[in-house]
Amino acid sequence: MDKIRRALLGQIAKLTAGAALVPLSSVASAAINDQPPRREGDPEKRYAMLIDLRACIGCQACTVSCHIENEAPLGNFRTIVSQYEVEHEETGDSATFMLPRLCNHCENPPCVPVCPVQATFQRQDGIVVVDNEVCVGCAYCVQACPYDARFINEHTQTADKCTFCAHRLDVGLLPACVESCVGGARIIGDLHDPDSQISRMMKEHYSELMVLKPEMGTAPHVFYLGMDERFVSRPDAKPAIWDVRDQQGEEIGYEFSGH
Amino acid sequence: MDKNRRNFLKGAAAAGGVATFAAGYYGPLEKMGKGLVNGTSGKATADRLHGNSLAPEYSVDPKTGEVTLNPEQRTAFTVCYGCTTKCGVRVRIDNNEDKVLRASGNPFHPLSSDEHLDERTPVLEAFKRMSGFQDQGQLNRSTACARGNAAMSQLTSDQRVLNCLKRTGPRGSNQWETIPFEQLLDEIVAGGDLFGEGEVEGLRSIRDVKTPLDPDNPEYGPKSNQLLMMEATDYGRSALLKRFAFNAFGTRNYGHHGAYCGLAFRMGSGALMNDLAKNAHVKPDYANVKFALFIGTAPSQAGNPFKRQGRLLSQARSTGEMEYVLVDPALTAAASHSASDRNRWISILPGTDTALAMALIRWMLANEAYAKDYLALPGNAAARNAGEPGHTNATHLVIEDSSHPRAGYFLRLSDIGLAESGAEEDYPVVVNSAGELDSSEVADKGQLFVERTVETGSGPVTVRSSLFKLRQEAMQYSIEEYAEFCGIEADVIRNLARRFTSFGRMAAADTHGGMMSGAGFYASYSINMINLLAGSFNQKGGVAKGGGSFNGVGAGPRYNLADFPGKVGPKGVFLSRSRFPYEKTSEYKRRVAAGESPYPATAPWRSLAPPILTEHLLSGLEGYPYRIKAMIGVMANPMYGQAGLTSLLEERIKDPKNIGLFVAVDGFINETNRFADYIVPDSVMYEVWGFTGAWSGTLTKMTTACWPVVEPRQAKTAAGEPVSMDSFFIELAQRLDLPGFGDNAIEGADGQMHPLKRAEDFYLRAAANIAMSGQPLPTPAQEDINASGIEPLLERIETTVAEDEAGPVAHLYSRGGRFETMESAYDGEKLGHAWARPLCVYNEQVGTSIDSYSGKRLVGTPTHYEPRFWDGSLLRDHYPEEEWPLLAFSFKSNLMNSYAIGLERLRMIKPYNPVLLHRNDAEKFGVRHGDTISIESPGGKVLALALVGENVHEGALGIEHGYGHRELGAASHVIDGEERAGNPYLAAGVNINDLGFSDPTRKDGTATWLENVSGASVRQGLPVRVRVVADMV
Amino acid sequence: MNSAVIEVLAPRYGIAWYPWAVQYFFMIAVSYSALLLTVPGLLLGKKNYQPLAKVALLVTVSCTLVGPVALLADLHQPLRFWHFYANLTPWSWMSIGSLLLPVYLLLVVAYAWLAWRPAMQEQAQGEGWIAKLSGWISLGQWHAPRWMLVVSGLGALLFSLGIMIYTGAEVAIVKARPLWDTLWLPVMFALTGLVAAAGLVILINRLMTGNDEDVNEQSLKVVFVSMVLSALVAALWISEGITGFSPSVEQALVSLQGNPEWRAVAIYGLLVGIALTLSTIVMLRRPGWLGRSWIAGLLAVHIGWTFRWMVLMEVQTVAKNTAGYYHYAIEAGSSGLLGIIGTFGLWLAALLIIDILVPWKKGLPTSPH
Repeated sequence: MDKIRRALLGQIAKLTAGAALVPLSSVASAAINDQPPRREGDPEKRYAMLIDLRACIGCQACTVSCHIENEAPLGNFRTIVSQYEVEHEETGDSATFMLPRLCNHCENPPCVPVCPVQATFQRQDGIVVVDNEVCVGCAYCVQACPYDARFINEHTQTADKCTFCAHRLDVGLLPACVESCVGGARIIGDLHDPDSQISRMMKEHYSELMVLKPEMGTAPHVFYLGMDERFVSRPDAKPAIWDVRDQQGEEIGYEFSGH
Repeated sequence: MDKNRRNFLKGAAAAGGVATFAAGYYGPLEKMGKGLVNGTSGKATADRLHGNSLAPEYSVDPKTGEVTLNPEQRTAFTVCYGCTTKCGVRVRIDNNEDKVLRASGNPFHPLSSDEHLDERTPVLEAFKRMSGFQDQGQLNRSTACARGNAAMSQLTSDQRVLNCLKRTGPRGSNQWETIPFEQLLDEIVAGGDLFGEGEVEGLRSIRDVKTPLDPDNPEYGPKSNQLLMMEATDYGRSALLKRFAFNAFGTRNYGHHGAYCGLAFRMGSGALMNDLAKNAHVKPDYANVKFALFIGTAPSQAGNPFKRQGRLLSQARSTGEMEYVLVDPALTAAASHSASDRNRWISILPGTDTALAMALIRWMLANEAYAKDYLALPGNAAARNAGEPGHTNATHLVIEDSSHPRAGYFLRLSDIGLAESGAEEDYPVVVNSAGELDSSEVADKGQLFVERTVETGSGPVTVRSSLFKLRQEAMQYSIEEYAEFCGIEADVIRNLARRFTSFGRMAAADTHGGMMSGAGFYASYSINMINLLAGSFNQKGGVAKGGGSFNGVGAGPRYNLADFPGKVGPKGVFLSRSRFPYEKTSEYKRRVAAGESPYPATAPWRSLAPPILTEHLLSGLEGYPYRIKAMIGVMANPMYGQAGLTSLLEERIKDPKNIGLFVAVDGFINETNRFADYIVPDSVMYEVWGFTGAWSGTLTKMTTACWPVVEPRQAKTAAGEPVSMDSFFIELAQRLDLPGFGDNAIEGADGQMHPLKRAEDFYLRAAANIAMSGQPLPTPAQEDINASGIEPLLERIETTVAEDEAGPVAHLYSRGGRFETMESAYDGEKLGHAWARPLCVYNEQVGTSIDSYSGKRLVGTPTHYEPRFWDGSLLRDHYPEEEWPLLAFSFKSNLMNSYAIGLERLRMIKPYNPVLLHRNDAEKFGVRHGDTISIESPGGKVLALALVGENVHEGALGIEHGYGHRELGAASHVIDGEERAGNPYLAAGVNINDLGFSDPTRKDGTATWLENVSGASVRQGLPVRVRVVADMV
Repeated sequence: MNSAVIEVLAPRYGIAWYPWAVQYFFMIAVSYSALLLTVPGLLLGKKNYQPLAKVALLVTVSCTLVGPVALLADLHQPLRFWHFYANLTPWSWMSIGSLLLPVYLLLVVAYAWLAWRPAMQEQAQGEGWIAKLSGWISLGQWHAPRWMLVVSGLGALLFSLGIMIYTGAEVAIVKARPLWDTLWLPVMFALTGLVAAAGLVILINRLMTGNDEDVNEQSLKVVFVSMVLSALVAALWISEGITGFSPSVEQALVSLQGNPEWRAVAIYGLLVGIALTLSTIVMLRRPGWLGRSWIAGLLAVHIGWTFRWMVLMEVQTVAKNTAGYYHYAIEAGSSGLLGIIGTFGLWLAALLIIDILVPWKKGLPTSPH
């Protein structure tokens, strides 16, 4: 990707983040591939997450605690921290860039309208959930999510994703990832409450926040502070080494590739 | 063909098509079948939206903040064994299944929480503060890291050892049978022909604390020294192990992982802090430091205390004011791109940190960028007047002439006839402002740079001040030369020095395990010296030793757990020939008497080093100084951890003639205890008793308490106690009729004697000592008892300790330990817990120790050495760069550790450790990103995938530690005739220690490369060469 | 590639749609395309297209029956298929498809039934179980007026358009996969569907009828025209990327640059496409070569199927968030190779059972004029 376009994306990323502070009016009726009305959840709230990348140490405590809390199958992640080695574009210094990824609980979630049976929907508090008793496991939503935030759970045979630990939020607790964030990078809260920590931080860092893949028009509600615009979209990088080799040098594959 | 026949053939073909279809469609058919029966093709879920997510442990009223506990679950506070930080954690347990659900941090615990809560806070209030109520939980996080979260699968691992095992084949053949605990004890106590391989001497006959084991060398001590005890590290139970080993059995020989972990660092630090007995160390006061220089350590990548450092570093980067530089051969997670204005990574050639540190010292001295007034304080009196919590020996004068009987010692008042030798007021001498010799406790200032001749009782002698000596050493090389050694440009070093010193006493240099190089002791000493020169010790924003811990296992206020009737004091020379000068051995005397040169010694005698496991094993098997007959290892795994050990030890340890008995106490079979004769199943994390302490950098005093918050799963003894390390030593001691165990083993403060027959007899009394020390803890409220899950513990407390102790002990467990409040962290601009001993610019003990190879005194100040072998020859003299162009080093993983490979949730994230290779080196050797390369050292060869980039210093090759296992579940074992299959994924990757090699200058036959002063295993800077392996796929 | 950034740690994601999806998309496209080939001969009653219509109808029916079976298998909860009808979701293309598909299937079956009925009725006069069965299937000897055939045929055509649109749109609206997110994709699905359907007609013409030269010629023309149009569409797609801003083309170019496998596939596709187009020209031009049309037929089926494999399976290996490509190796079992073979097995069975029961080679009902 050329630099100009990247900068443009960076700008869009910031603008999209900023726009989240302006409440959108809910769409009442849906044309094909439009958002259906939201249901369930607290209409007074709009949950969102802010991740201060400067405070992320890449320890993966969020990844593992989420995995345990939500009984995800081995090899599937509701959240994970991507790790990159980056050269600073001006100084040339090398450093590590950590990028926690999870469901963005978009204002315009592309996964929701594609669902043929309305199993996945957005709650009024913005949390996108899957009703695993309705889900037929067609995986259309998995394809539709630009963030790879969904997967088919091989245990339940239904679509699975981050719910911001709605089962904890609903009883006044914090999501597992937030609770266990060693660096204190993850902040969750209600954007409708101007006094919440996230609202205050959103205001304070208004001009620096970015979101992922703004060009998708999804209006993500996971905001990043300390973001490098090179990572807003799919990074132009040397890919990770996927092979797993034993001590004789034999490739033995990924233990948890599942299917 | 008639139509019918044609139709028949078509029909057959159609049937074939249908059959193929049925075969191909079995997946969906199976799902349909399940769907028909269960209503879902998968596992039924508990909730339509939340699936099988865990039920919350409590709920909080959004209006009032009132906490309601989930009656199906309990939360208990205990310790995490996920790494050696040993954080206090809160563990969620399902009451119905006694199953651990998830772990997170203990909010009262400084290693897990941001600002830990006052332990008098009600537990329910603590729960509220960690909840989403008013965003409080985000301000008061108490966390468990990835490993701490993943570690719970140890409990239920199918690789766990649950029964007492006895080998049925030759040692190391992975064949076992299950035997009762009592049989195991009988056999190891009595000995006999236990394996059909001939007589094995039992522990009863080895335990002889009177007969010298070697009459020719009586200093070696009694026969009981022929039992070697090994332990991984103190997870809170070492006190009991040591009580057995030192004071009951009476062996001198105990070793733990330190010598292959961070000993070189610790000793360099101990030398500077004047604490070579315990090797104290410091960490930056993260909350206030303005500039930190991390050399060979990467807080937030790894290191201890892991979470505390990571959290404080995060804060410093996002909301604080700290700026930092990381010097490391490898790029680590500590170098944050998102906070690139606050931090920078400078790469360095492995094993050359001394050069950088000496260059910085040189610059500081040459530019007078050191804390002059502070360094000039000669003694305690002057320090008190100046309002400083301590002083250094920068101005103290050292006797230089080798011919002088006190060469290398400080010039003391007695030397110039002003005090009685050895008297308390026989203070060191300094040159005061007036230029006269003066007592360090009288002068208000000392001159920093002194070189003069002084009249002493033994005649005139040259003396130099410590700082003068340091400058001499530092000036040996120019900054350009130092730069050449370490691969960092001279100007970068100068700028670093300038930046560091510009923050005055609010700058800190920090180091740790990266010092395990061929010059590690002096590297660590010199890095610590930067702090001394900057005057940052004990300063708010400087470096801190920390608050230390409460000692429950000593002679406490309620129970004396240190002494007991019949206590043995271990005697004799350590197997590792440490803390004992060669010059005092019979061997030395014999050689001198025979008129031969006593040097070099047969093998290194390190008078400064603590007992080191790096030498114990091979010494004990080879028989110098003496042979061992039995060995008991507790979770110890030197064969994975010590560079080059496996290839030297494997054949030797397999032979029962070299060692008759090897008993291991462990929950898992590791690379070392697979060679054991017996394995005693141990409790694992969350099932154990114990008390763990604080790490440096934790500013307040703290002790973590742990107790079996879930029922141990392994076999029980005949008495119904779980078989574990505790019950093993308690029962073994009783069978051997050793003092300190059984009835009347523990003396109360009231003189009454108490038994030590179960683990809690020891630990609950230690808890009483801690709970009752100083201002005793209060009794917990019933609500606290319910909320902290200690109900099952109460009865045991009440039946074990005195009535007035029960409440405070319960309180201790209800908060997971005892913790000083945050207020004790600081005392104005100084630290609350200052390190009061004089800091050493020159360490007298070091400067007067004799190198057992050369017979010369060691240099007592930091000085520059290149990586070297025992005879002082340099690495590159033996292994030149042309043949071994790269230097391999290891770095700690930010996920895996040396024993975490069995945790599937960590393997799931990072299943493999590709090695770091610099882009230019890759080009030179024709390696592309992702290629399989063979890495060869003088001692071994491994295959690995290359991660090519700018993530490592040119000329270095980085290996993330924690992979390349052969055991811990990787290998198959046959137990009672049934195969327990190993998991090949646990064997993925490479272990740097397979590249370790022998010191070519050691004449005692076999020894891995160890750092000269400390005996620490060298793993940073191993010479290697690489080549691409032709298509492995 | 920018070597300044290295991905050190990233998750690996498996694929979400299995080869079942390829089978469905292939079968259903062949179905609606072959239906189109029946129009001149059967619906419009043009005599010289009747042989083509006979073969094409067989292809249509067999594929229409098997396609949904494959589709059902791509659901992880196949027995919950009724949720589609219990939760009508008009804003989801897949839901719309779930409504179209059964109606389309019924109309195709009705259309074929009416087309084959006269011959079946005749067969019912004979002896044996086939005759008896034919009688049952014919539902009596009454005469079905032609309007019934026309109505069901037109209905099937209308719904086939719906199927064409929904299968294309379902994939093309997925912005998350730029390679899918282009309006040209549905068009390409239809064109390559035609190629595959015509190719399959040629093959069946060779195997089950007398290798009728008219059928071959007419089908080859369809292949040729479709291939030329496909080339045009591909060119338009690329030019859209060059002139404007198309994430789809951009992603394609990046994939070609960054991955030797993608390059190899692109070159292979180009070569096979050219080979097929040229061979149709040769066979149409050189008298006597028409008899060897089955070679072109094989190539055409291969292209139709492989295009779907590439689009549906390989595109899923392009990481959405992370650098590089996931490795997808087709597995042997039900969700892989065996599933693919099984679907074709079912199709073969359907084909043969129809062949046994239905005298489909007999004359088709013709228009009154």
